[in-house]
Amino acid sequence: MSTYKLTYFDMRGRAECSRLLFTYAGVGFEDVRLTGDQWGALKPSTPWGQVPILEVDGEVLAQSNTIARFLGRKFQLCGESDWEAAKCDEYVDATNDLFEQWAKFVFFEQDPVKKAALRETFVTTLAPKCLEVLEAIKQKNGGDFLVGKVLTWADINIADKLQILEDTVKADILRDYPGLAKFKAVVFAVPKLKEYIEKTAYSYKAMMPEAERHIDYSE
Amino acid sequence: MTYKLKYFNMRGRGEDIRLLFAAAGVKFTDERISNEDWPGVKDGTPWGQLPTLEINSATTRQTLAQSVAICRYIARKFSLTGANEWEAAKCDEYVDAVVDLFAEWVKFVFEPDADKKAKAKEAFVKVHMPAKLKKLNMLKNENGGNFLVGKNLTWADIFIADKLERLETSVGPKVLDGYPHLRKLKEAVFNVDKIRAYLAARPEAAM
Repeated sequence: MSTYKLTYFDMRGRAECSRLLFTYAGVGFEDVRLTGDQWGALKPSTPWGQVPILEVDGEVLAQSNTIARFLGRKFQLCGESDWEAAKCDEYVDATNDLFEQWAKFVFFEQDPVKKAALRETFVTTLAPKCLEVLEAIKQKNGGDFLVGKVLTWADINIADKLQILEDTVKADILRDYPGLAKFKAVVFAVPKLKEYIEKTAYSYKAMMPEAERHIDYSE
Repeated sequence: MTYKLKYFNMRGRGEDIRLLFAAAGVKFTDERISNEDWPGVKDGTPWGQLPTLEINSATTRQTLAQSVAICRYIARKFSLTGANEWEAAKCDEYVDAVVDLFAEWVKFVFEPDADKKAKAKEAFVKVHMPAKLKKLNMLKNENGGNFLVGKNLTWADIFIADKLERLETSVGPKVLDGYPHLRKLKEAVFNVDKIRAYLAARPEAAM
């Protein structure tokens, strides 16, 4: 049995997918949530000056989607073929592109006027472009999930991202995407995930506790 | 199975896929879309972007998108992901780190405003690039041997060697001077028989 230690900030961000994967698989892990001071001390020793990192029996793995994919493989959540595994990668990468844009106005842009302009572009143009494609993928796949017949790490990754959009951008952002709204509901109704969401601070609407908003998240 | 890569007539986000097919010794159709033809092709792509990879069998035609997802699919199919799942994850990690670096690279290379371009280039050359290359150079040295992960060539070596060449052509030929292990990595990858043959025959391109 391997020991797992996941280290990240005290927020959902780029680690929640991995936390959800452990929870779904029923595999124990140490869920380290850094304060700003702790991050300052740890940063130089991380492989790329970033978190999350995952320690597996003391060996360090970095890069959030790499970690999630590694756990997806370990917990048999990569679909039922190499093709389905590749589709998981494709959909996560495409959604990740959208989140690079999200980060610009949620985190990096401090000027309120520029921030509002970026948010406007995100809501009117960038998000719909991605969500339309995801909606069509979901409809075309049939069933409950995005890839094949069974739950994959891509479903968990993307459901989490959709929830983040609702919580941080616009509560009704999925209004025009009923397939995605249903998809998200189904993923979060999976018993182990449902229990986790009810028990943890997952449901808080803000991305992070107020106290930690001063942390320097840049590289 | 037949494979068709669709990308622009440049290296960009398609060259690593071409190199992977070459390394695997697998034939593929290298369809290069001109700028004039692109608008007509765009709506037929899954995400409005290239590259895409079409995989055709006698009965099916399937399309895969997202350049790194395509690389990883080919790598897995043709045994270029290391010796075990941990090594496969290390391949993913190093590629992700270089993808991050190239998100910064894009900022200066494609910046139309001359002042902003100069500033972005300076930040890239003084901050982002050294941080990543220093780390990769160290990882290569620590791994020992010719490659970044384990004992044999992986897609991470090929992906990264391609990007190191891109740095040489876009930043300057001396860019790897401070990173001898990365220079050796690039040489080792470009010396693999099938890759060397591909490089000798490929079209000239700036990027």
